[in-house]
Amino acid sequence: MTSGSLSVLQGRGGAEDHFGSEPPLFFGDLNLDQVVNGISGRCSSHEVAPFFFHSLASLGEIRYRQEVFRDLERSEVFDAVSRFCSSMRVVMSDLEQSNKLYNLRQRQRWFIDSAGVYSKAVSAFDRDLRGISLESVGLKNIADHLSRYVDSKDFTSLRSEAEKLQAEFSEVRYNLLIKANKITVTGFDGEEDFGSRVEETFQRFAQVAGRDYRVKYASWPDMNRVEEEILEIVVRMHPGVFEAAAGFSARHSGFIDNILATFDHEVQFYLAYIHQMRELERLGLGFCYPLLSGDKKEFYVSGGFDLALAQKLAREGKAPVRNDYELGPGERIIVVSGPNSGGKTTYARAFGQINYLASLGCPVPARRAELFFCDQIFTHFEIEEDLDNLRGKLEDELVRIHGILGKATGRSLIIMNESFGSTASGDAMILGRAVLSQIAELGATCVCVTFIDELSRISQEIVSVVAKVLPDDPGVRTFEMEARPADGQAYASAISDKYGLSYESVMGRMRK
Amino acid sequence: MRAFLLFEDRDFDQDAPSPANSESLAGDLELERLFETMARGDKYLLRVVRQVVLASLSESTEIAYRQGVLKECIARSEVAREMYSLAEEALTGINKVSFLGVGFFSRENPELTLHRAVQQLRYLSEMLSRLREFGVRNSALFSSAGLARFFEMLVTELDPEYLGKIKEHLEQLRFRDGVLVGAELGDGHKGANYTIRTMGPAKQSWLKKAAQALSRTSDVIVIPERDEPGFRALEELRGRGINSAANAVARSSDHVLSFFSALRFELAFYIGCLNLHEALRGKGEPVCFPEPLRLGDVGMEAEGLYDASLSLRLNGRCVGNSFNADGKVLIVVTGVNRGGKSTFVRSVGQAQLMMQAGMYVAANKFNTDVRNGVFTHFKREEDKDMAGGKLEEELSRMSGIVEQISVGDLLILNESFASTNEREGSQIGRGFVTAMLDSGVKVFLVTHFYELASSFARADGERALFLRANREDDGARSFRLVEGEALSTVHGEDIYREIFGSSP
Repeated sequence: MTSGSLSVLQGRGGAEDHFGSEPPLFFGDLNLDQVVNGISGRCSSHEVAPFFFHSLASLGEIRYRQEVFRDLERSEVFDAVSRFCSSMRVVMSDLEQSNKLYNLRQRQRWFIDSAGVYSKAVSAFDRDLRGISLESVGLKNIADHLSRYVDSKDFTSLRSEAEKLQAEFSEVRYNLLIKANKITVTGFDGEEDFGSRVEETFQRFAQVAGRDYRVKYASWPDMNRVEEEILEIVVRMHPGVFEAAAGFSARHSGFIDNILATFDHEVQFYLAYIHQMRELERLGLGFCYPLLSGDKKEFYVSGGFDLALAQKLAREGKAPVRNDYELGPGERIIVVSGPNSGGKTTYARAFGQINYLASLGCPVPARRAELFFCDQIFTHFEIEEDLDNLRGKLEDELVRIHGILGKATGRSLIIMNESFGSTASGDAMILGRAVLSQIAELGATCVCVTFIDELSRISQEIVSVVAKVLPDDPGVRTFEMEARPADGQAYASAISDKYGLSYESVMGRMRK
Repeated sequence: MRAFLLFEDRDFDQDAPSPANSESLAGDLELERLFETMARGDKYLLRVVRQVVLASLSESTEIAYRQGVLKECIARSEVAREMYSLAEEALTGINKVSFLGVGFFSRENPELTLHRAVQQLRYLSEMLSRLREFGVRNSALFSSAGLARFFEMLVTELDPEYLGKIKEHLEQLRFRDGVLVGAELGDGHKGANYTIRTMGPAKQSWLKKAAQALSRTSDVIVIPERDEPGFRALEELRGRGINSAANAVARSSDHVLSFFSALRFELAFYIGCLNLHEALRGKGEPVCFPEPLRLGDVGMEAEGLYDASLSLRLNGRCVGNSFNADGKVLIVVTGVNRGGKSTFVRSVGQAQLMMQAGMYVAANKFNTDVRNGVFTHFKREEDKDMAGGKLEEELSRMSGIVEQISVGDLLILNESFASTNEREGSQIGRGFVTAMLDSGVKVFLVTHFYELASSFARADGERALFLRANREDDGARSFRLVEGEALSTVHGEDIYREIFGSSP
């Protein structure tokens, strides 16, 4: 294996084809744009969103990433990688600082500190990974590379020289005697800290939290002339170490290893995603590794949820309702009907998200997921704007669905949300029936959200799912879906004990 | 150095928000009049007594600790008042000193921070000496846990050696020989960890060393006149050097100041208690120090319990009530209108709160168990905002109480649910009150609903006590409650007319 082509994202060691420059067309409809924003927002240093734009072409590649995910889900692996990556942030920003400064001695110092952080981080990462038995090919390759790299001559000398210089600089102390317009610079001679003596004296009056009177001085990285003059006197007091610093910078330019730099970027895809998983797991929203099949066209998902909605609710400490999906042998289409704002669209979106995230090699937002490995995903959502032109809108919808049916194959997934919702229900019925029949004929998988229950009864490939209602309290929206025939019943709103003052309510409220 | 006069082991948390029910509690129990009497027109006292009285204690030991201090303050009121004025003087005096040097730039300049803090400390160390003198003079007079500890602390902690050390520091802070700043190499070799260093006892040898350096002109930087950026840099360097020392001195000044401020706050409560005590005793009303029941016991026993707030409004004395509710968690009060029912439950609420503030109570004798908190729900005489309807207003207020109340609290209900008919009001009331009792809340219930009161007599006789306001045979009201269950048809027509404003 050539060391230039190690990727933790792609098993075949391909070039950059795991990047997509543009999100897929269905991103917005499935709220995957929000999902990816939420995830990539956790990583400010690197652009990770493009890693989410390109689904994988084979089950083997999916397995490659799932293995890396499984390794990284172990806290010891996750922590080791996170530590390395956050040290790399410091390395890069120190280097940047070094390049920006004017004063040569300052540039040298930032450079040494950057190399110091880098060499410590690399050694620690290597030490961490040696203590862990990794399962994934992707991370094993990195660990192998690392173990060779830390023994290389370049690296060992970088590390020992940087450490020595840093230690010597940290020993330097000096005094400034400031009187009138004169500053006298002298060496340090164990003089006592006066401020802490004063504070000690008044300690017996100390309160829990005292105010901080220290003035916050703006801290510029560069020096003014007086500081530079002081530094030059200090340099004269310690000539050796400053001279060595100059030599170091000349010898070690470009010290960062290419493979580690690429790894640092690519692994953010995993870290950011796992970070998101952990946050939601705290709210009881677990993820799972989907079982993908290339030939069995069936879907069994339990406890699936909408990741975008979960991200939003998590900010208020809440969790969305979880739902099941089942398409057994011969079943192709889920028709979702029921009351408004009962969670139908969310239900359909979540199914699309689960299938797409599975195709990226990611764990999916569900308790259990067995999926058919779809070749493409299409969405047909009502377009909100342009309400004036109903005829134009219907035309547009038909043009779009026609295009989808032209591209889709029997291996595709189509999500339809209130398609033809703006037409009269007779029309919507006729159009919906026509489209669903074509999809059934094609053999594609489809989730269709509609207010027309009859659509759930037009063919045997169809499974009917309805928003659940509590019989005792029909006013409450449960956002739960259940597989049962659509009956179109009316939902009356119930009278509730508005103030919660009955014996039972009060006892309940007092117990919590 | 902590005053610890309100709690044995901690300061009173002045920043804690007042309990959520404070406003209705103060209104329903007519506490404002008590607070005003305690404050005698002093705004600061008013704020303190309101805050302390409403922040109930929940432990008998805490109550006993305050009672001990208060009893001695009552016995030695002139000393207590002298101590309070000393604390007051420290705080008013400091404002004059602090005024010096407070300028627009003071927050941005360590030199000014330091200057002001040194001034303040000079003043405060003077006040500390005076406080010590006061302590030495009076310490023999006090033996309660709180005051004995306090006076001993004054004498031992503020010893002359300590006060001398403070003086010495203040002298050094003049920096007559220049400012000596220690530094290290920080990020990018910028100076870091600047600290003021003392030349200490070896000052002379140090100055010699500096003089040697001075003779090597290469180690000296002289900022030429008119070099403005140079002087700004010098000033910043000096500022950075002084920064942490100025902080230390300013914090020290704050610490000493906060001692005086806590002392003033804590004494203010006792001064308020003295004022109210003098007012009640001055008109011949009795007061007594209550004894909380042992943990686990429930009950209330009172002799001559009266509404202190009402008494302060009258020329003469108040009618007191006596009863024994040993083991009872529900006290149902029924009977004629204007027969003293509201006054009675008000006196109960006041006594409970005053006991749990560590105060005396308005009675000849009063013992009860310590509750966690006191809640009141009184019928609002007039409802300005009728938007929700009267019953709705009452129920939503009650619902708000359910949100806050919990096991071990006391709830006083005064004609709650009264704005609907007896059947409905009794049903709502019965369910609600039973749930309160079953949840461990003690309830005083004033009601004119016979159905409600008698349902408790039938089902909860064991845990309930029934008191009744009577009309004398000649129709006059005695304002004295007697033990007895509710009477049916008690002036039903009157009551109906009262509530609904029309005949049935």
